Formats: sequence, structure tokens, C-alpha cells
Amino acid sequence: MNTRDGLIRLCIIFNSLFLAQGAIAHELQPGFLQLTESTPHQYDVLWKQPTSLGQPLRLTPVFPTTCKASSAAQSEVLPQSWVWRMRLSCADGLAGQTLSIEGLEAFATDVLLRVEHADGKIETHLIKPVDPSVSLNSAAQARGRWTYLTLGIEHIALGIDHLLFVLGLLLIVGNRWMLIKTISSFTVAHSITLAIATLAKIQLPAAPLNAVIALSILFLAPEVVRVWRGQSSLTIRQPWLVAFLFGLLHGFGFASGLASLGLPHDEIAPALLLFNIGVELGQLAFVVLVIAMQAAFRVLKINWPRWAEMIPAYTLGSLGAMWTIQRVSLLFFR
Amino acid sequence: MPMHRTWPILIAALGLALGLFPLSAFAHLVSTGLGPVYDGFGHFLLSLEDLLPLLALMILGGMHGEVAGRRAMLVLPPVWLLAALVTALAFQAASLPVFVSTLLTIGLGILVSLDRRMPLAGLTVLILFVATLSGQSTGIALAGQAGSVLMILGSTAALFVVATLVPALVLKISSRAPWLRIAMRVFGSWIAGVGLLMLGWQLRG
Repeated sequence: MNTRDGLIRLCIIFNSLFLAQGAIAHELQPGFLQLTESTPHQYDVLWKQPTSLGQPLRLTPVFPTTCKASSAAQSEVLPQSWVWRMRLSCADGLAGQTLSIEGLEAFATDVLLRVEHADGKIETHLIKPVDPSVSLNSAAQARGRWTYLTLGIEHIALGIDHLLFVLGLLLIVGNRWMLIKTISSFTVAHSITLAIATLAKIQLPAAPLNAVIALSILFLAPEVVRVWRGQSSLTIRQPWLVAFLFGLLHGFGFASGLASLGLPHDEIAPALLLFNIGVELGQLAFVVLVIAMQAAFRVLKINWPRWAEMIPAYTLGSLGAMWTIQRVSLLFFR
Repeated sequence: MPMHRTWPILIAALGLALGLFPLSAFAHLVSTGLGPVYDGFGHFLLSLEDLLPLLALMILGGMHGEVAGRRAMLVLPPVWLLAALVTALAFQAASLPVFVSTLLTIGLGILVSLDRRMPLAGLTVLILFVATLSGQSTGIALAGQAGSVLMILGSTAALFVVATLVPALVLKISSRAPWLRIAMRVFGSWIAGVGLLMLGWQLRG
């Protein structure tokens, strides 16, 4: 093994160890807690406890001490969450009270809290691991529907697999026009399936979907190598087509961050719009960053050694392969 | 003594002088809610006292041409990473004078505003010196934190992005309109001004 091969192998190991976290983080869906005040100081509670590998995460909503359960909790097991329903009686109402999620600090996921008050007012909070409690009826903390925008940005920021796919596309496209066409094509495709999945409540099984998303990254790696070798293929000639086809699948992946919440009907349209805008903003920021870095490398006239030029392709290939094997094995050995 | 020999000696003397004042450093952590890598990324970009001297150094690199710009981009991040990791993992109780970053900010801001040509060797030593001190400072701030290694890797990624974009931007601007170098020099004087303000606050206690 020569030095170049050694360095490439080292890069693959490093990438696998460092970036593999992204795949794990992306598996976790946000939790959803809804409190509906049906009669004054009486709340219907819906708690969707997220799961990982089929097991519920140890997250428990802690209600104010003035609240008492007025009905037994009923549970239902869904593919990506455990759903709990109960009725809560709060002597002084929930205004000004503090609600927290016990155990949230230990997980890289958020809980979306939605409270419908008897007067029709709705407040929405995104409870995060860094601060797992919220003060209810607090104008300072409630961000309303903008919460979905944040959720969208977070979803793409933690979706390392989606970002790597976009990176692969950026490394393949030859000119600006093709770049715009390819990124637009990916955006349109994933927006279509995100909308279908959320509005029509169609969900693909998470495990095979994630495996195919990993496969899409693995698929791009040899294409990047072909570009550097000066070879051609359908993907290199028409990257927008591949972006569109795999974009449809990635859209179902994005939908897992929103569709699994099971939002009320009148909330779905604005939530979908803002969530998608959040995803696009995150993706656009990533694309701009990569293009700016490529331009900066050209201005600085950096002559990368051959092995360094190959790092992005090997990163895509090694992580794509590792995630594909990992996710396919989950289909059979869970 | 020739100018290219005096620079490294001056820089080494400054480093020695700073090392003689063992005071504690401030810790200021950023929580993005997206995990330690993003926290580290945010920590670097939002810690102005650490960012400003590095920004001045990168502008200085860009003002010295392609070779110096490349040097800043390729040397700064790995040395900074090494200094931060070694400090965070092996010297958790270490400390730096609180005004190290401030003096670096003032000094580098003045260098940018003067726009004096430095020899490449002198600039390289300066990059090594600033990267080591700045990395140490971040290492101290993040030592003992959960996920400190990932936070440092996130900060290094942010540094790599900034160390690539800033010299390239300065080079591009300088080549298009040479008079824009004046804008760079003004920016350098602002950096030095901010450093003087920070020094005033620190001396006031």
C-alpha cells in the first residue's frame, strides 16, 4: 500500500467515524405534544412519543402540579411513534404554568408543543434538549407557526445524508445553467413528495426509504470519479434527471419530520409551507457555501494533490456504502 | 538586522511576554440545539474576541497575495485544531491571560491598516503563533464540556470556511480595484479600534 492509498483509506475511516453520527441523528423524529382545552381548565392530551429502532425514547411530559389526570391514559403503537391519549384537569388553567419534557436532554430530537386554548388562541413551542421546559402563555417564548420553519431548517441541517446527496450533485454539474436546473429539479421533486406525504398522509416505511436514500448517495460517488476521469454517463450529461428521481425519495424522507407529527387539518397547509421553506433555506445556504468555497479555491489557485481531490468522492462512496449496509441490515435484523 | 529576521524574533518576544501573565480565560458557549458540531461552528463565529484577530490575519494573508493567502488557508486550521485539541484534552486546567486575544486584535488590526509588506516567512510564523494562541484559547473554553472534541471539530470547520473565503475575497477585490485596498486598511483600523475598546473594558474590570 503506497502513501496515497494509505491517506485515502485514512480519510474513509475518519469520514465514517465522524460523519456517521448524522445518520443516527436523522433517524430520530420529533415528538409531538398537543393540549386541547375542550372545556375550561379541562385538556385533551395527545402525546406522540418518538421511537428509535422500534423502541420508544424515554421522554415523559411533566405537567404542572396543579394538573391531575381525569381519565386513564390510552396508548396506540404506530410505525414511528407511540401515541398516548388522556384527559387532564388543571385547577388554575395552564396560563403562566411551566411544562417540561423529562429525559429530553439525552436525545438529539425536539418536541413540538401545541396548545389550543378555549378562547381559540393557539400557541406553539419547539422544546429543545438544551432547554426542555417552557412557560405556557408566554408571548416571549411562543413563536407560533414560525416553529415549523425552524423545524425545516433543523431537519436539513441534521440530515447529513440529504446534504451529501446535494454535494454529490454539485460535484457532477458542469456549468451554472446545469447547476440551476439540477438544484431546481431536486427542489421541485422533493417538494412534490413532501406535499403528497403530508397532505395525503402517505408514509413510506422508514427503514427501506432510508436505505434507498443511502443508496442514492452511493450511486453518485462513482459518477463523481467519472467526472474527474473525463468520462461521461447519463447522470453526468443529465444530472437534473437523477436529481429529480432521487429527489422524489428524499421528499418522503423530509416528510418524516412533519408527517409523523399528525398535525390538525387546518394546521397542515401553513406548517407544510413553512417547513418546506425551512428545508429550502437550509439547502440553499449549503449550496451557496459549497459554490463560494469552490470559487475561493480557484481564486487562491490551489493545486490539490490527486488524493485530496478524491476525498469528496471517497467520502460519498464510503458513507453511502456504510449507511446502505447499515440500513439494509436493519430491514432483516431488527 | 535584516527585516525578515526581526519579525520572528518580535513575535516570539510578544508570545513570551503574554505567557508571563497567567490569568483565567472567559468561557462562552453557544447552544444551537443541533448538537456539538454545530455548537462548535456557532461558538467560533459568535466569539468575536477569538474571531477578530483571525479575521485580521486572514485579511493580511489576502493582502499579501496568492501564496500568503494559500498559506493562511492551509496552515491556520490544522495548527489551530491541534492547539485546541491538545489544550482541551491534555491541559484542562491551563489558562491564558484574558487580554491575549485583545492584544492580538489590536496588533493584527494595526498591521492590516498599515498595509506594510511582510516577508512570507514572517507571515507564516505569525500565522503559527496566532493559530496556536487562538486554538489554546478555544481549547480552554471548551475543556471539560460534553462533546468538546466534536465542538472543536465544528469550530475548525468554521475556521476552514472563513480562512478560505476571506483571503480569496480580499485577493479578488484587490485585483479588480486596487483602490479597494484602502477599504481593507480602514477595516483593519476598525478591528484595532474594537480591540482598544475591549482592552479598555478589561482594564476597567
